Amino acid sequence: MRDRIHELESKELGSGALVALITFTDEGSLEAYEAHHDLGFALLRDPDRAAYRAFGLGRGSLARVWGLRAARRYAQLIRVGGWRRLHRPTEDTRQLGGDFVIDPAGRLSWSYRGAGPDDRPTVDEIVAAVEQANRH
Amino acid sequence: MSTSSPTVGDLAPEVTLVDRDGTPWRLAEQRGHTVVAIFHRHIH
Repeated sequence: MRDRIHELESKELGSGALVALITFTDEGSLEAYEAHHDLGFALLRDPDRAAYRAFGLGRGSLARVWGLRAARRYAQLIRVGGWRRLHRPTEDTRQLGGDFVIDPAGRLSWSYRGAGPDDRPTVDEIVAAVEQANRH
Repeated sequence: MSTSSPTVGDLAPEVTLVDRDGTPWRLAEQRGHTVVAIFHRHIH
């Protein structure tokens, strides 16, 4: 996700385009995240996830979020760094993400709701959606 | 997933978020700009 955001930062999105990164994390975690990643976009919180719900972003099934792929990833992490590198998540790991483009008139012009943890659009898809919205 | 999910062409939901200073950020106040809203999964 971080790499995708940095790649998006490097793109020319047209004058006036705003990028908002939205999370439901707590205030302290957000500050740490912001300090660590040095992002140039607005970083916003939605602590009760009202905006997630309003945009139709639900929670993934246990099987989808914690499926074979996640098990493989954890096995790899254990091999590399041992159990010490693992820590219990403090947030809802089943919450799904999504990406949306809203045109200058306030209409939803493009949407992508993730079906699973790694299901996100490419940066090029987002840039193309922004270009289309800018033309309206 | 919600059955009232907005679809392309609908007015975007009027949501209010907060920035790191606790200042409200209202999507409806961003009219005139194209907005890319990226909803993270968990970061922690």
